Amino acid sequence: MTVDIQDEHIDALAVFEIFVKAGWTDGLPVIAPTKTRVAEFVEHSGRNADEVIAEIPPLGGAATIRKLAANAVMAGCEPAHMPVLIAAVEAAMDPAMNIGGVQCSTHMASPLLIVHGPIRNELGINSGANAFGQGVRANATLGRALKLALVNIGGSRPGETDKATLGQPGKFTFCIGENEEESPWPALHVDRGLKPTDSAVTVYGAEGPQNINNQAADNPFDILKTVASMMTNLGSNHMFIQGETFVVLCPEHAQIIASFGWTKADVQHFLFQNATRSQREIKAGGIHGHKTENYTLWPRWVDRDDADCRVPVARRVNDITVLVTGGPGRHSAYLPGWGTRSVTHKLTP
Amino acid sequence: MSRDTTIGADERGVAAQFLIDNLGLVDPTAEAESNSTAAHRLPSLAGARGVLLDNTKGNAGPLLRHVGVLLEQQYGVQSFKMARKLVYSRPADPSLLDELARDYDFVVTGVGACGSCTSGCVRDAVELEARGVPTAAIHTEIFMNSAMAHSTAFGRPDLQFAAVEHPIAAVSDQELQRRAAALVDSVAAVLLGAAV
Repeated sequence: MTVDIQDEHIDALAVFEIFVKAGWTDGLPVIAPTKTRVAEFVEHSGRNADEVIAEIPPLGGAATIRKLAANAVMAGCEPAHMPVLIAAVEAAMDPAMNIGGVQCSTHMASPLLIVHGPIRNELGINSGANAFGQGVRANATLGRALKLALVNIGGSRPGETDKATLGQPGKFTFCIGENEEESPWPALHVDRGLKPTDSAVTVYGAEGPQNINNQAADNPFDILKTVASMMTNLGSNHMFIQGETFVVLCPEHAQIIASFGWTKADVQHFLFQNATRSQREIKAGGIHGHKTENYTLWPRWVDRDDADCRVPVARRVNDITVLVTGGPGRHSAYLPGWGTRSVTHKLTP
Repeated sequence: MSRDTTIGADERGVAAQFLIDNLGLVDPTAEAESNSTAAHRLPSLAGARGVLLDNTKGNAGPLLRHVGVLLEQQYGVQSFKMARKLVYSRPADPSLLDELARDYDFVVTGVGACGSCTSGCVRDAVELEARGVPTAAIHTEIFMNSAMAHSTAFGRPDLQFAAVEHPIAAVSDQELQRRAAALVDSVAAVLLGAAV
């Protein structure tokens, strides 16, 4: 079999078949990572092609800039996307994220990439209407490049080392921008010590977004009670193993809440106090059931001997992360996680 | 009608090589460069000092304890100590592994009964073996392919594991005892280097 990739008459489908056989794709067509294209992407990164960014779990392949560029080309990225991809991989390697676990788990978590700061607008990343959805190249290809790189370099093969029972669509691509322009509060990267003028990424091992529809509320209490009701389901990990959990407020919900003078910290405190369940309810289901010896991750102040004592969705207030994204309308989202923490990383200029 | 969509490693390799050699593409994948060393197997289990490293996955501790009792009764090992790692979804703390390698002749660990815990469990076994302690890691049957992919990537394609029926988290203690009885000889074989 011989195929000339530069030949305009070659059968792209035949080449795609070989990509599939090689296990290089997520199942969707890819752009061929020719040496020329990859070199152009490396050039845009401003880094050395052989520089190793990380050894990616679970199998520990070395992520060089060249390998990341090859995956970015395949995903359909532009060369200018490289700094975001590199920062995302660096963030994902923080032990707090436990990317090795996320990549192997029977749970459906997948790394959500959130882009902050001026780079969003420079690259045209969607943080408005349909932010989690299809239709914008930067979101679609950057999320896909991160996942392809983690899978191809880290070696998490579905059914083999990626043992997800169900998986989820976000395992193809999962990237949003934060709607900093319409948020009444500082952006997440600013909450975490960076400047509004810094560009940054956050990576979070997340389930898919679950819609929170509240079109009637005109005050923070009613909006956030609806949010809290979503956060205490017994099927997600949080009531059992805690960790960080994500609330994505749409701009309209956020603006109503802020119009009552509430800060983001007020939202977090309200949810910490209201997204709770009694031990009696928790032990009726979920990961651990009645095996009380497994509830070691709850806060110390939960009285284990009092079945009516309520347990918060997260161990501490700051593990309830709030950000603002999306377009017009009154639909927010809850994104349960895997039980680990998100990591924010500043882009290298 | 279903179609088999699994592609074997050999076929993957041939296709990847074609893309690299004939089309001149850049390989987007990577393999670990690992050459971890194996521990010497034990000449005998009689009188050997072992530890059960509980990875905290549901029912792992009880299953390990049953296996331990049977190893004492049937193979004459010294009475077991228990150790626990912090969470099943990560590899154990290196200082815990140092301690176990210093104090014991062998380790039995598990249970790899989910994706992340299998990954962590294999990593622990490879790290303990590299510290010179023969280690038997137990996984449920459906995670054996993941365990072997991990050990191969870590430079230990020879590493043997003991398999237990899946799942274990929601079974009775009596059933755990039955499974431990079915498992104990393969745990011993891993430690002694006999064919499993």
